[in-house]
Amino acid sequence: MRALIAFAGAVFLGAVSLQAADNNAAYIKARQGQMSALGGHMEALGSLLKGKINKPDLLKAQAEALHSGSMHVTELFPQGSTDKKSHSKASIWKDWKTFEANAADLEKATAELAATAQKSTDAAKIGPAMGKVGEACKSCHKSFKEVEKDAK
Amino acid sequence: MSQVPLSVIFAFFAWAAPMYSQGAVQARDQSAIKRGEYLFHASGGCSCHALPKGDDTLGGGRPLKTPFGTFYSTNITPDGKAGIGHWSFDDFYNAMAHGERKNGDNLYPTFPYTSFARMRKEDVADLYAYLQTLKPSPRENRPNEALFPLSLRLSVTPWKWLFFHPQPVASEPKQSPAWNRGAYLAQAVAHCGECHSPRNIFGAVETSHYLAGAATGPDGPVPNITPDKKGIGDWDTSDLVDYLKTGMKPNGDFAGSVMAEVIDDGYKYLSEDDLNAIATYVKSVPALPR
Repeated sequence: MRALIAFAGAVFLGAVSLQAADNNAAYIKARQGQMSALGGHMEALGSLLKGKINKPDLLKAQAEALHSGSMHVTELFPQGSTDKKSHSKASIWKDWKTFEANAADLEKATAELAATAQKSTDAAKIGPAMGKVGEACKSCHKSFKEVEKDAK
Repeated sequence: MSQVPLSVIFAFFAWAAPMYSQGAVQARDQSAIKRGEYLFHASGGCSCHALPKGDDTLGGGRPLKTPFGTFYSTNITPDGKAGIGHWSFDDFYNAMAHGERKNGDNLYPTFPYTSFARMRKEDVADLYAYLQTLKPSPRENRPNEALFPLSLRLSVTPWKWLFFHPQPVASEPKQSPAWNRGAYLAQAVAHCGECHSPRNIFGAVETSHYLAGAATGPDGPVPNITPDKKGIGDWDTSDLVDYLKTGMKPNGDFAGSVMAEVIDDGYKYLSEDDLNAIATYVKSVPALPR
């Protein structure tokens, strides 16, 4: 009887972990999409600043989008969800507290940038605020993202 | 004044002279240390000599996995026993320019003396002055894990015959001063080619494919950074400056792992002019697909 229960349990656990493995690919794609979106907003904001393009409403909108896009990052990193396509390092789950703290720093920095943009889209204010966001991105990537395989 | 005996005047200067020259020496030392700190940053902050996490010294011990074994970086702090505190400048120069330890043994070229050998001697002297001011660490050097016969340092001697013939970075009069400055910084100090160029089966850099990327580096595959479209062809010079300053790529992504480290520990401290110089030079190398 015990053997039967143990066997059923193993099949169940096997099925659950198989499903998790299937879903890993989805989680990975989802967060890669999220990260690409953040990159896109950074690219837009950076170009507006560098090009001295004076479009305050556009800048405010991008800063808002960057902030809302930067939320809930950790929810797309369930335990062990990495594979060949992923650039995530195993250290994410070994050092989850730091990963969470980094994600919180990002949310804080993007919130500050959005708030700054509401008050003034002056480059002298936006520049440093963007710098803080960049530091948050770099800091997390330094610990938890594999080094780039190509320059794109 | 003529009342004061000449002997007293001489005695005064004899007494004061050491202080004057000591002051001059100290002033000279301080400016050497400052220049050395800048060169330290230009070399990427020697991050290979620190552990990736929780280490505030250059006490070494960081593993570098290669096809020839795993090599561990050494303690380059001024600790008199475990580090290089007891190394004279000549000892240090010998390591940087000739790839030799204090006792004359070969250093493995995982320490990129193939690049540092091209530094100007006065720059090496400034770097030495700066390194001697850093926080000492008592961490003992970890033995390398190389397979026999590479475990014998003597095996590096034929490698040096074949692959180690350093030349100073040539000045190109047809190029701008900025390009020339960038060529020196990139090739000799920042040593981009040590990671970003492929290596042959003997582990020597393939200079014909300079900066075209490597299948295996300290942290996995290394990107092509030549101006090819497979490399950084669609990056502006200013994009490359921004990247070395902030880690941000033109597509808004940010550098990770070891590249983020060398930016944080080194390249981000460089002047706008020098970053421009490096970018100008790197954007000018032959465009090669990986």
